[in-house]
Amino acid sequence: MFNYLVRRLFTSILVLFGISVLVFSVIHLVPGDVTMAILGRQKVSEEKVAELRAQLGLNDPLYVQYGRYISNALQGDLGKSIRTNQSVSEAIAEQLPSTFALAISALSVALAIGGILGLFAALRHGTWFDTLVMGISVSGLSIPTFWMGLLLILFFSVRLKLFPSISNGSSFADLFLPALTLGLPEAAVVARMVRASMLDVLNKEYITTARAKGMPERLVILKHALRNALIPVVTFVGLQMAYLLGGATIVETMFARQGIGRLAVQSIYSRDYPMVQGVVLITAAIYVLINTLTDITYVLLNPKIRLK
Amino acid sequence: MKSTLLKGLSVLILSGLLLAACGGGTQATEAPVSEATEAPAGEEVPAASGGVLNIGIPVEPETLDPGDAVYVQEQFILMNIFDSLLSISPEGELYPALATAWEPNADYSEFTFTLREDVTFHDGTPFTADAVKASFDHINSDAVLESGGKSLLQDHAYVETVVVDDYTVTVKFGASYPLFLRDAARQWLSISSPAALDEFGADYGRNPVGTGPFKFVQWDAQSQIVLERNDDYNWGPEFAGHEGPAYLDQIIFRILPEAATRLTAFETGEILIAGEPPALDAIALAESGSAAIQTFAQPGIPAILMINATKAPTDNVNVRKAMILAVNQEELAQTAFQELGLPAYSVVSPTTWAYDEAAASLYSYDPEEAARLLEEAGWVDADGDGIREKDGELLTVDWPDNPAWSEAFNELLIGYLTEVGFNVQYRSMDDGAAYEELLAGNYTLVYMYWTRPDPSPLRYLFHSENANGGGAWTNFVNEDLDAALADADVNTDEEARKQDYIAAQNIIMENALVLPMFTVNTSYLTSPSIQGFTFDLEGYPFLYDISITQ
Repeated sequence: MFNYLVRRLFTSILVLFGISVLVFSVIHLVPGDVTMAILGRQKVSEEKVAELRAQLGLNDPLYVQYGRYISNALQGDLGKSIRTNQSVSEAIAEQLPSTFALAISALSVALAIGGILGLFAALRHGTWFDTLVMGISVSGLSIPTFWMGLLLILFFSVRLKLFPSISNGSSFADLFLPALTLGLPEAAVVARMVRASMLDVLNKEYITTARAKGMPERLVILKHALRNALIPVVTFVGLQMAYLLGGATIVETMFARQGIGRLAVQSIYSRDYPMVQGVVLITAAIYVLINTLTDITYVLLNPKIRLK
Repeated sequence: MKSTLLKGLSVLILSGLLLAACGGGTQATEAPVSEATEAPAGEEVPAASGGVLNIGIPVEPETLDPGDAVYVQEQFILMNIFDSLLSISPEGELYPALATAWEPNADYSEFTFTLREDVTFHDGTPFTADAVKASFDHINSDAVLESGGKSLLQDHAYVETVVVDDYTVTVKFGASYPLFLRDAARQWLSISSPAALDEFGADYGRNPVGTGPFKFVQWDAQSQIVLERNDDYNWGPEFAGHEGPAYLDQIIFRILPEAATRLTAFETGEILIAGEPPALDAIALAESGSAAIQTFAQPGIPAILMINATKAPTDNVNVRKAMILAVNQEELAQTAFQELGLPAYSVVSPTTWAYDEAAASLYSYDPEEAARLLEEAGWVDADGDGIREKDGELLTVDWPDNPAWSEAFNELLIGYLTEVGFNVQYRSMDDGAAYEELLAGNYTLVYMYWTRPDPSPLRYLFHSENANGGGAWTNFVNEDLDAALADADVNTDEEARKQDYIAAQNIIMENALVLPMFTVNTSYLTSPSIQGFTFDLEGYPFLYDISITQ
């Protein structure tokens, strides 16, 4: 167990290192000079460009620049935004809560809707309800996020005027439409997973045993079947959380919400290199962290993994 | 001119971003300037007081430090938080603002201002001569990028600001600066609280404190900027529609970069004013009666292509003339912007001071004449492929450009040029890369646009001191042009300056140095509940006079 943990953490660090190298070098490989982007707003002399290059350490060999970047990053200093001169770490910290609120509420939507539909589809296996749920979930998976968002805005904001079409903050009204937009396609995935997993468990012998000893059906389902069926779903939730953080970009743009996804897009458009680096690095770190935690949880839940 | 080398970059980027801020070339206008600025909320008609005005803006400001700000959206917000020494009416007349009287010396290099004594900053500190000095010194300092306000001061060799007494101040320059009084009325040179400048230091751009009709409250990055009414405000300009504090309780600038999002938010009533709406949707909404379109044809340099006059094939004046003659500007603007488009025919737009009609009438669409001029210059289509050639070379014009600034327009324009036998090599790239191509001289055409009430940007763009990488991308050298542009910058006689600019416009157009494309318009969708919407001289909505009817 300990060995596994050490190995898992080590690979995570390796992945993060790879990402940092990639992020660092991609920025330096794009055409155009970073000093041009910084000085874009001012009139300056050639001396000033040279001075800035020296100041930014751009004349040092790449590995020295990388070393400096990573050691600053480890101390929480991701540099300053070219566009706004703000600290990158502060700017990201300002945007993260909004993205987390969106991802968590979208996940709740996915689990609530997907879980219930999947459960009942499994219990009514082969009936019209099952077919309907599976049909809806295929459409749910196929509908692009932006189209789903547009439909929801048209119906709930423009037609009914119930919820805002531009949302900011984490109140129920602000999160309702964005969370639905991001969560519904996920709900389709959850529904299919819960259904498959439930069907699998319901055919197990211990369920037959439970029924045979006269246990009420409700208890059989809730206590024995659902509990076991949810194990793969729990793992899946961890992975999806990371996925939702990334998928938030489109939804954030669509609803003009604060968030790191939108920050990334904005920074790329304005060639704000330090900000792009910071956002990618932080997002990747969160992704790796969640994946690692999920893997570790899974091992704790399922001892069989440890043997492999 | 040590600082001229990268002038061009600032101009290029600035122009691009200005246009981005104006909706990527989305044009809309029906009303000429005079119509757009008429009928402010009448003094007799009591406007409804109170309410929160949500405005959808397409671009987030980078800073709210007036000295550091350059872009349209920044100035639109700044004008509510800050006052300047003077103000300019929509008609272009100078009025008192923080200064009640002003006196230039004989050669317009020193200006003495008498200040109001009843003004306080939003942080409660009194406004005195020290604030003027602190603000100008701050704008001139290293804390501020060499853009906007700083370039105004440095281009005229700002020396110092001398505090004569608490309410008298003298601003000194090392050179004549006849336009200073007008520039002193712009947002770039507005007056900040010295206490706030000290307190916030490098973060002042996110914590601005002025004396304007609205106080800065908060800035949620990527989301909104909130201002609230300054109840003490009693120093509004005389030309405004009312006196005393503004009508609105709060203004919330919602940052909505997606045009579709802005439009939806407008339709649901979440915002009452939408900046730069998509033209077609705006027309549809206006026709249904649920919105009004407010437009303003911006003065200054319209959207033009500067033509490199030192690189073949456009080193031949006939080839350059043929380019202008080949393009049907009117049809082009109509196609690209529907009935809301305005074609441009000169290097200066019609709403600009000293605009010359004669220079704008030199060319009208004539593809046959274009073909004749090209043949005269030796360019013929011998192999019948539609592209002209001479001595085995194709008639190629090279256009490195960031397509974001005028995407709808480019293809149409290229179509016209191809029609008469040009081979337009449009190279799509981002601003930094495009700028490097310009510095290296690898271009025939350069996209440009510069909003300004007078034609003064002509100096940067066409004086030969800025040729070969300094912003005068045509690289054209002409003594008369240089003399006119240099004199226009310093001559203290207004009529003489006007004649200088008229001469410059004619030389530029006679030599076919630019291909005029369209006049840049700013446009806003306003809800019928908005009362008293007017534009200022540069096309920013004047929110002080606006009220909301319930």
